[in-house]
Amino acid sequence: MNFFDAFRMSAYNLWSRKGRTLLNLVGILISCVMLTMTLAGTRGAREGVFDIMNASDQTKQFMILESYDRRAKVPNDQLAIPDGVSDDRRERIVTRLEKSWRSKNAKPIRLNREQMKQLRSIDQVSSIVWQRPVPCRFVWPTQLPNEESTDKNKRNAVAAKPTRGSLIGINTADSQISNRVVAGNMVSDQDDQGVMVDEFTAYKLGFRTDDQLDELIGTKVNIRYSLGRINTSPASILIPGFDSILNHETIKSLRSVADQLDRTDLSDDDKKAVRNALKLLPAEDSPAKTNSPQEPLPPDVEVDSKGNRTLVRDGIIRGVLKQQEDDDLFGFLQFTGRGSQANLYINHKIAEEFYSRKVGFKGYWSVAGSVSDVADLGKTIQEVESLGFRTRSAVSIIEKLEREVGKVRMAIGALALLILLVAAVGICNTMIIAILERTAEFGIMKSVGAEDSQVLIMVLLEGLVTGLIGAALAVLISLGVAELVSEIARGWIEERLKGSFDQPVFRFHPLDTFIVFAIAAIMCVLASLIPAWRAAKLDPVAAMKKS
Amino acid sequence: MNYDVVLITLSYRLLQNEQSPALQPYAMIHARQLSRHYGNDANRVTALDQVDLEIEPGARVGILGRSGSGKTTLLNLLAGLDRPSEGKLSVAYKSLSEMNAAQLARYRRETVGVIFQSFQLIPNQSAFQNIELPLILAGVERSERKSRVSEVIDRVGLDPRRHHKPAQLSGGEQQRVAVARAIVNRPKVLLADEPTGNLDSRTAASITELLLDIVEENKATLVLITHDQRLAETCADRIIHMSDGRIIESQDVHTGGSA
Repeated sequence: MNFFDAFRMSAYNLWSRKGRTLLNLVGILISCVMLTMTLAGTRGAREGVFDIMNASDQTKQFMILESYDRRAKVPNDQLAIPDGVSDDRRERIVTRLEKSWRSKNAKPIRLNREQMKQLRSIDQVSSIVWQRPVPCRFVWPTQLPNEESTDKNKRNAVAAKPTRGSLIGINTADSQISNRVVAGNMVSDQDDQGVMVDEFTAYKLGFRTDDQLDELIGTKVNIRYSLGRINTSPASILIPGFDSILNHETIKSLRSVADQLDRTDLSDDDKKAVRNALKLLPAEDSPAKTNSPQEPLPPDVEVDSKGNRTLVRDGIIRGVLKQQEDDDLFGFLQFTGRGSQANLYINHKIAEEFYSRKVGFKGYWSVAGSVSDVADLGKTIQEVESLGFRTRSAVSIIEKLEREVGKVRMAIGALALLILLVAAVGICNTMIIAILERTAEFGIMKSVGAEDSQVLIMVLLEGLVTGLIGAALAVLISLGVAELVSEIARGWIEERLKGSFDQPVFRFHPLDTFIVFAIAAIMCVLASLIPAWRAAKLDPVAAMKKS
Repeated sequence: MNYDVVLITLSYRLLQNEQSPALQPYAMIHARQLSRHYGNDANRVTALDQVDLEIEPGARVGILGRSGSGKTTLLNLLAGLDRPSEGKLSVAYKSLSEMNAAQLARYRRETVGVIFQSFQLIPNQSAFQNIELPLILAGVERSERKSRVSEVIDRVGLDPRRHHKPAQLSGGEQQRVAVARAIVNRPKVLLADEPTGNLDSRTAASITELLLDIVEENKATLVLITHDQRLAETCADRIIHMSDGRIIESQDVHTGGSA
């Protein structure tokens, strides 16, 4: 007997005994509907929250903070804690002591540009942006709007001289930022000169009406970013043409070389070459004495008499940005500087370049990253932390959410399984009764040549078919029930959220459907095992006497 | 004489190390010292007691006896539905005594066809499905099954009633279905246990005629269990009388002498 014939015969038997089949199906249906709804409901809750998180964009972000060399071993005497401290508290205090010692003594680990590049190459990372507001001075457009204001002269005066303010790098591709444009357009990623002005800053400058804001677009703003001062000690000086900083003693010795050249046996050409090189040394009355740097300055850097360097750039105002609104469900998760206020916003690549040119630059101590999908956040955080950095993100919140949803899933799932178990006992019972009713039938089958295994398979298949039909009906019924319950649940959720909730409450996934089918099939086959065994082992002669 | 059959039988006997010169080497059914007891030692009931039996291929044998004489027990043993307590039994050159459950099942669906007094049809299956059952169990292809069932259903004259369930058929029709089911696998041995016991005389006569025709057409060996002397004489060439689980007489119907 092949499998198809056995299956067909089992299905036919179920069909010809509709009453009993229906009785078995009711038990399976109740438990399978419950199981399906549990799986779909918990998946809906989990994925719904993830969708909100994904939509909010806040939770996809993480902060990378400077860390300390963890290899640095904390001396034991620093961690000495007296007896009588409970283990929990001891552990907490040791952690804090280690942290404290490392912050003071261990080498800080900051992100350099190479590491930024490495972080950007992580698959799931969508952006890595240095997003700290930095103090600057700005020279705003001199052609301020002709407002009939009494303080016009004052405003013109403000516009004429540099004012204090701050600028911040932004990810120009971030939709959350581009949504904040109130005038003009967002700076494009390729636009190195384009800048965005803060709405309130523009207002304070006198650009108040919409028309005035439009006038601001396309005008220039002069950015003056302080790079700091090169620490030129009185004994050292930088000489163009020499790769290293030479101190005054060395220069003095070199000068004396010129006097002694003639005593050497160098060729005339060599002597000439040395003299030419020595000409590069600063004269004794040169500004070197006043400790001014002597290297050729980049064209965009100015140096004052004290050696303070300032990066000077002109930016073209492309648009005006409003302040970050705090209406997001996960707005409290402000890990990045996106919400930080600044007067001017520039492409983060330019901002990074500004900061990297700062005298004594040792890396970025705090960088904002984001992933395209919240589900990737945990994995990304692990990768970043493996590089030795500290992070701050919504991972712990997500983990907690996963745990809570998992608990609910387990609890309701266990209840559904319990019901399915009860149903299985019921199925086992009705099948045993059915086997008793069909004793003669199995006797006849055996008398015409059915083997024990064939009878066993036929009865097991009846259980399997019952389970599969039950699961299929349960999934269909669950779809209908989900529609009804969703409406009620949505109203309830919206009432509590005090806002609209358009996420599906139940989410049916092929994997969950497969799980329901598998559990129903396994349970029913197990429930049929004893009746099947009894049917298979029937004595045909005795069985036929029951007919 | 079919020398092939003789050769096979002798080879089989040699393999079984049997030394019984008195037994005919080409017997289709061969029983020696066959006994069947029921119950434990204290309450032992002997249904069949030390039966020796030889039935040649193609023979038609009637087994006569009163109720409790052991004839149905003998048929159950011949049909492979029961196992002997003692003795040896071989049918169609296969030793039933040494077969396991699966081999016995195979024997039942390939070698013998059994017709019961109470028809023993599956009530929720149609005539066609009842007849098809042995073929399904034997793993015969669907198209082949269809043609063979149609052939036998036509042969027993039930073509218009093929999709009727047993409850929708008369006693005679049900027994025709049972006959069709017994012969659909083309068995070498046909066992009939009171095939007309539940039928009126007219229907019984037609079933008897059908049975004899089929045995003739299939060149099958027939063992007919009955308590009806006339039926036995009509159907069989040889009649075996049983009483208290023993064979008390074996009579040739045509000559009237012992066989």
